[in-house]
Amino acid sequence: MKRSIPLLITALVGLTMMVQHFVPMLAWASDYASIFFDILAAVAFVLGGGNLLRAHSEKIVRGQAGWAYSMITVVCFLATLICGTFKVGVKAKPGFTCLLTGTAQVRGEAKLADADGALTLDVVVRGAEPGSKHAVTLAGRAIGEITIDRRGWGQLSLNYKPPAANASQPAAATAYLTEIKDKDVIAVGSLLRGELRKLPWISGDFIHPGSVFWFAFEYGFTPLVQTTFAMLAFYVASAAFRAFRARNLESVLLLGTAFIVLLGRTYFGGVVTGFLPNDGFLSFFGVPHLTQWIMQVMNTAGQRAIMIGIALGIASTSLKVLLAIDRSYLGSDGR
Amino acid sequence: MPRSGWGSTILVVAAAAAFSPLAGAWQAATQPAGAVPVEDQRAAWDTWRAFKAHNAACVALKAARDELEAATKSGDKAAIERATRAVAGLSRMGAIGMVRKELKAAQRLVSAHRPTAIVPWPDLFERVVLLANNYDTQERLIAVDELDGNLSMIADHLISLVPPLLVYDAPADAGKAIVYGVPPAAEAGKRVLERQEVSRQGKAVADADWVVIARVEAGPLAGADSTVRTNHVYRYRLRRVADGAEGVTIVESQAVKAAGNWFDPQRQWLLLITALFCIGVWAYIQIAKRGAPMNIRKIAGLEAVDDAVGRATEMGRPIIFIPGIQDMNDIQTVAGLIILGRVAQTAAEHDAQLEVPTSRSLVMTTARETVATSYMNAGRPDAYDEKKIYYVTDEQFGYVAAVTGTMVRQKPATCIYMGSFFAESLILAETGNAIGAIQIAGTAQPAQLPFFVAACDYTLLGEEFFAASAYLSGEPAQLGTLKGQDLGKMFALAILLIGVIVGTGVELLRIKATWLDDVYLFLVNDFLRAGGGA
Repeated sequence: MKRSIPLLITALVGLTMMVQHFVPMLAWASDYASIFFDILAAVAFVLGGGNLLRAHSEKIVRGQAGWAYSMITVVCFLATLICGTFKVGVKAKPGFTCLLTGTAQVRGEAKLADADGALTLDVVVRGAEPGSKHAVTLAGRAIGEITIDRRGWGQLSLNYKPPAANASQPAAATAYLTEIKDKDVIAVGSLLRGELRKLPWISGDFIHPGSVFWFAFEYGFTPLVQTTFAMLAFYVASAAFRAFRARNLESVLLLGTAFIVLLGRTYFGGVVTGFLPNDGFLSFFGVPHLTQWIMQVMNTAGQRAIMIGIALGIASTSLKVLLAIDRSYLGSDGR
Repeated sequence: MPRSGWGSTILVVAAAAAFSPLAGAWQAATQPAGAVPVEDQRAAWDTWRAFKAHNAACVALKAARDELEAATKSGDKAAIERATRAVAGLSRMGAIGMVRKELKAAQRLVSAHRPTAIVPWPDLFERVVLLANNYDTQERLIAVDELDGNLSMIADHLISLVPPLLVYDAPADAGKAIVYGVPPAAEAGKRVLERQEVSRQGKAVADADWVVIARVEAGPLAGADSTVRTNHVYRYRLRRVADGAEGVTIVESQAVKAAGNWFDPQRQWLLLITALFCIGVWAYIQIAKRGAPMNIRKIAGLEAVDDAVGRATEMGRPIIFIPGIQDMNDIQTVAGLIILGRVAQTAAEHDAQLEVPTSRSLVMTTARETVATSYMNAGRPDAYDEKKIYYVTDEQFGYVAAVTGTMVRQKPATCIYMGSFFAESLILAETGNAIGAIQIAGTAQPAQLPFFVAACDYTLLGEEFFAASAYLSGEPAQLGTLKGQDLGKMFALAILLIGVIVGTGVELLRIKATWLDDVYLFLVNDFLRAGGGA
């Protein structure tokens, strides 16, 4: 049972993913399977995070070598977790919202969204009498009318765009949207009523510019990542220095090809063979052209050969997993 | 259960073959007699659009050539070089060379529905073949000039076959889209495309609202309405609207059903190839189980695993195993963990320490299960320490920083990298080199293989990495899958040879052997790309 159920799940889901590639009507099954995996991975992160904390905490408590680095890891982990979860330093999204209440069956909501000064007010009503019309008022001012359709739904949308700088234009008819304040009353005829409230602080994005999380990401994490990535250039140089030695015929060919390609990627490569014509047979021996030919023909051919083998290997390994021929990844008596 | 999966596949394919004609019959039944069939209307519309894309590419090329001419007159060398490269690059654009299949479709359509049209088809095919196979810029430019005028004339014939509003159910989908096409209008003015629901799951809908789908001026309009629901029937109409005035309906389409398809016919060749491959693998598994010898060549990297583990035991230093930085949904990670199981068993037998830092939580839990089982199978459950298999971080460079720090401090005798790697591969391999560890790497990322080859002692290239688990286990069933893989390789080689011969023949014989061109187009567009490809 402990082994059979995982094998069954593997086979079913794997077969579904294979079949849906040919059967468009089963695309939903593939989407669900992917979502299941995302949920599992997200939940599994708790295990990983817990393991990280436990391992480093143990090191700190026992005073093992390198405990100071573990202390830094734990402090940074917890600080980032708290700042991200509780959105420390995040400002609330601009805008207002409220639920409209009135008679039992009719419901509605109103939202004022603010996108860099452009305002959109949406008032939605559900469950009202089809065909009826209701005036909408905001802070005592009539702003429009909602007509209810066959389904009992109605909507009113109003937009306001701020005028361009230095433009002498008359104020937009909906400029009053900029004067909305906290607790302004919005009413839909005599059906519904509500008080617009500012969006709470939790509505802001956790990585909003200016927040603590954003600061740590922009000025702590990103420079460290870029530094490590930049070190690759030196690692490439040291690997090349060690690997490109003319020991035998193959290594001489490798060295020559690498030399041509390296030179061809620089401006100097074009200068060195600049005396060759741009068209015709001799143009082939120009370093930039030779570089392009090596990358487009020889390199592509080699990569495609490897990729054919990889594709067949992936298909074969997938079959082994689906047909339960190889179960060692399961562990616990998986052989 | 998995063994009966092929019966299910055959059933699905048979059902799809039965259902697909029914969907087409719905469209055909609603067409008046004598009109251009719906399939030909669709083909004419798609071919016309391809020709328009080609025309747009030619316009860009002409602009580049004008720039080159101006630069040549001015004598500016840098400008000449830039313009020459631009012309050469643009002349090789896919849109300029990709009209071969469309030209064949155009020939069929124009010959069938506009038989009086005079079109120099043989010359056009020759030019198109030249564009597809010739890299000489000047010859390509001549071919482009000769093609462009003729293609515009053919495009006019094609667009005359398309009704003012073309709507049809999107092919090979789950019934979530209806495709629409609106040819360009002769007169200027805004046009609006609207949709009305006719019936829902077989029940008629009365007085449904017209919903605006798209707006367009005088130009063409092509797209897919993805807000439809499966098995609902819709009607579309095109209206001309003027500011402040009521719209005037230009044309209204017939009812179209958003039907789901049970089989994608474009992938039939891929299905066949997949089925043949699976049958081959299964057959070799059965042969292997019956005791037939399976000769597998030596793979140096895998032969060295035992020596590498022994080295770690002798030196009293640990083995570090890195299963890549991707999650369990990547087959490379699964393959890496299978190899980890074998390595862990060897380590347990040799009493070597094994450390597995992971980049994903799920990989950590799976690796723990795998290693625990291996230690148990080796008769050393007491030696298993789950703290040696730990999670580091999901972040790529944070992970590699932690792992390289571990490597520099602990100085493992052996480093094994088996899985999916990206930019961090070289950092890991170089650090391992610097501390004097023996390194065995395996990955299916072609871009990382050169780094591993340069820096590691042994590298498993691509399929060797996937063969490792079968190689190390020696089980007949697994070795059978390797043989099945070889069968697939032979098939790929055969297709490769056929394609090379046909492609070379097309280039050498040009238009004199149109049957060869047909074979070439079939291989490229149907068997390998549109049908056989992803």
